[in-house]
Amino acid sequence: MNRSPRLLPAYTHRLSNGLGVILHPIPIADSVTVDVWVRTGGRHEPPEWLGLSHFLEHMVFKGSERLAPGELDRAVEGRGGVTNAATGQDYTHYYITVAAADLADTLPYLAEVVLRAGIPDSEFERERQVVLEEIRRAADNPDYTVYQLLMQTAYGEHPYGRPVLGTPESLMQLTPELMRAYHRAWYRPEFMTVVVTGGIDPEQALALVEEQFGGPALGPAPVILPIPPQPRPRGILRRESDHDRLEQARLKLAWPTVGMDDWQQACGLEMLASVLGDGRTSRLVHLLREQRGWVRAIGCSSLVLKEGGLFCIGAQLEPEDVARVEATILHEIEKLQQDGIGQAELDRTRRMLIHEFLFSAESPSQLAGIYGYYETLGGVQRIQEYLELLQSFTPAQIRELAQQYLSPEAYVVTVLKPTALDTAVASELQLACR
Amino acid sequence: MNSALLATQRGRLRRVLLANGITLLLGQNPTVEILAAHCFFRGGSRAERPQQAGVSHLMAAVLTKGTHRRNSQAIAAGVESLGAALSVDSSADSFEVSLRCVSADFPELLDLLAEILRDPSFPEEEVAREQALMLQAIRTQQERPFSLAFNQVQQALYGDHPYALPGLGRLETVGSLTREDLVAYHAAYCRPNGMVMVVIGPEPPEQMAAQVEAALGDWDVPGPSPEDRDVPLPPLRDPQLLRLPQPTQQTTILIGFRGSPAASGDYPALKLLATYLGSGLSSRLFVELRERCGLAYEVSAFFATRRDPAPFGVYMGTAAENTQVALERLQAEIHRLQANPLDAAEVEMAQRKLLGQYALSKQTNAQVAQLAGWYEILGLGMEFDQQYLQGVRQLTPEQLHQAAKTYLAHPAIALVGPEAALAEVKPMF
Repeated sequence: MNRSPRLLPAYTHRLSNGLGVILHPIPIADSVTVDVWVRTGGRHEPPEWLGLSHFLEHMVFKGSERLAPGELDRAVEGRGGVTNAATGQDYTHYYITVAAADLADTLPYLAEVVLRAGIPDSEFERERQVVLEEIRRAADNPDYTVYQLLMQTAYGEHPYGRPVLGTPESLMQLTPELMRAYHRAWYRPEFMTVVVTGGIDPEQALALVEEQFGGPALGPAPVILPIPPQPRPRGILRRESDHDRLEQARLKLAWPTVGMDDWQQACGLEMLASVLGDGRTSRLVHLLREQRGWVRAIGCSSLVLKEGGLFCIGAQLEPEDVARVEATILHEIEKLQQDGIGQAELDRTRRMLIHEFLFSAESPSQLAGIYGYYETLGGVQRIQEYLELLQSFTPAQIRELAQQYLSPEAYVVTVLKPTALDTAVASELQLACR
Repeated sequence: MNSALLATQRGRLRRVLLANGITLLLGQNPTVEILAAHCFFRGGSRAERPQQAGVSHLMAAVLTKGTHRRNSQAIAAGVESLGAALSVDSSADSFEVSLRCVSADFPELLDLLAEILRDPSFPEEEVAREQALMLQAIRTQQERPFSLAFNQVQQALYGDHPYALPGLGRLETVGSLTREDLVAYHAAYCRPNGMVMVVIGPEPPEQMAAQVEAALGDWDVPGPSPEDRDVPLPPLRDPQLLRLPQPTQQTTILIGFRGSPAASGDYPALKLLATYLGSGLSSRLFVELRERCGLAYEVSAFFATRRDPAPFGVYMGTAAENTQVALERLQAEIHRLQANPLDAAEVEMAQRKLLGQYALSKQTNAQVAQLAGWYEILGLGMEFDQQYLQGVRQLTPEQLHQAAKTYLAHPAIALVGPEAALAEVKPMF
């Protein structure tokens, strides 16, 4: 397919209280997803509140003055639906998916707990134990450990360098009073978007959303802390650590890039990531996995957050291969910077990205997630811009992006190795210049 | 056409039998350009001889790495230049080749798919590379506490039956496999007679059927099929506690049982029990162990859909110092199901949840194709989709109670966690 597909929400609307509403009927769907997005997450936490947004996301399911803990879950799941939530650095979102006929009966539960979370003291202590278990579980997962190590090394003191889950120490400092104040300040209509997709009549759905989410904010607006600029390494910033139960090493290389506001560059970087690491014919997978067998897996991604992104290359491999794989990756980047990419390579990438996007937007819940995410990070028009920009990039532009962002002299590298093989002191931090 | 009709039409597949024994299931969904095609073959781990454990998996990994006309990169380029995805997966009772693409590209990709199925070359160097990477994959399974626990439980429940092993096989068996083993496995199991292919896309079923017939209709049956043997199960053993010390922060607790085959009349009851115990935020285990006790973040239950008696399990991760109390609570939940029937209201809630969430698990063409093909290759027929739901609707508290007493009586419990925490644990047997 060589035309760009269209993916725009059928209806966008702003309520008089400032809340954004996106409605998208899907003819075949007999289910409906409501996805409520709030523009706060780890990014807005001062260091002493680390983990507050995510902990709040747990506490929302503990009900309100009118709803007992778990009542939302029973209302939705008892009708055969599903509900859950997630917290990132830039957002928190809550969703339900139910049969179309159950929308009017279930939406009030979701609105009640999200807008008027009670955060009862007794539940707070108990749920803190659950979040501590979530942190322990993450610590037992080497892929989480190496991801966190990379973010910490790449972002330093910037909020994106800290774990959204918080730490056991930070969680113990949080109180129900603090959480209630944070909730009142941030869960306000002008910071929220409600997305409804699936088997809906748009007018009826809008009326329902207005009825449930149309009220005023419950407290004063928050003080928004200034976010420091994203750090940029001046040399090679290397951090190695070990993990007790690792069978293979993890290698991650990263370069600071752009935030959501520089969307054109961000879309080009997405194409560059695909050229390097998406599919068996991509450069790094072809060379390092398919030809040489030096890595069990290798991938490349352009992470674009609101306040600055990272271009990441990650591999899983035998510890003794780390050095030559890192050198080969850099060599491949230099080759791309010198020789550029071909038109066929660009066409392949374009088609893969467009089709992957289509495949990822098939069901109502997938679509609601996409609309909510983009609306929260920069505006829902970003989706259509993305699909159109993919068509417009030339091989020369992709090469320029590689030259501009992927310096072989300045990047971040983190390595996680099995304990027995690590001779240096754990978590050794060194800064070297070539 | 209204939306309800469209949804029904996608779910209502048409069955076509080709002369060479391929069963085609076709569904039309005109609302998206996306096409999903899934091919299923009998085989999988269940068909492996013990000394060849992992052969199905390795064959799947090398299948797309060369035909007699194209090398690995040419195949990958054929797929990726069209922005499609082609994958091969091996599971307990079957293996599956699946394709996802934009409908207009289907004829071209179907030719490639047919070439891969019928004429793979299993190049020596590709076999060697995938074998080396699979040995690494077997080792890295150990990084996940859940895998360690599940592997122990499977061993304990299944003895010499192939379900005892993880699908990847063991280091010794995979290390000894050769190209000839893959060629022989492919010749025996990747064959038209008995193959099931499900295609769901925007075009009329007749058109998709004609396309498949053109690509695969002249695939001749290559001699007699391998014997479809019964695989004996060891007798059920007394309750067992398996301790596997690991320097983790949490202890992973997994209590496993041998459930029923999918074809058994007890299958819906065990599915409903797994839903009741572990599905979602309102499930029994979630509410009791997480919401009321704060003992876990992840706590859940599972029951697989298999040809032979499938594993049923409940599991959780908890802080090392809570190992004993968490194990007691988790065991108490199983004992409760055996002691008395559930309230009618609890059963009705679980039924509504299962029926609704089952419908929600069929939202994409690929999901519909996957499930229908799975039922068909297990010999249940795609009609099982509705028979199963009917079975769930009719279940009573007494039937669930009976199923719990029958199937949840011989636990194998695995604990993976810090040595000191495991040493003190006493199970309630």
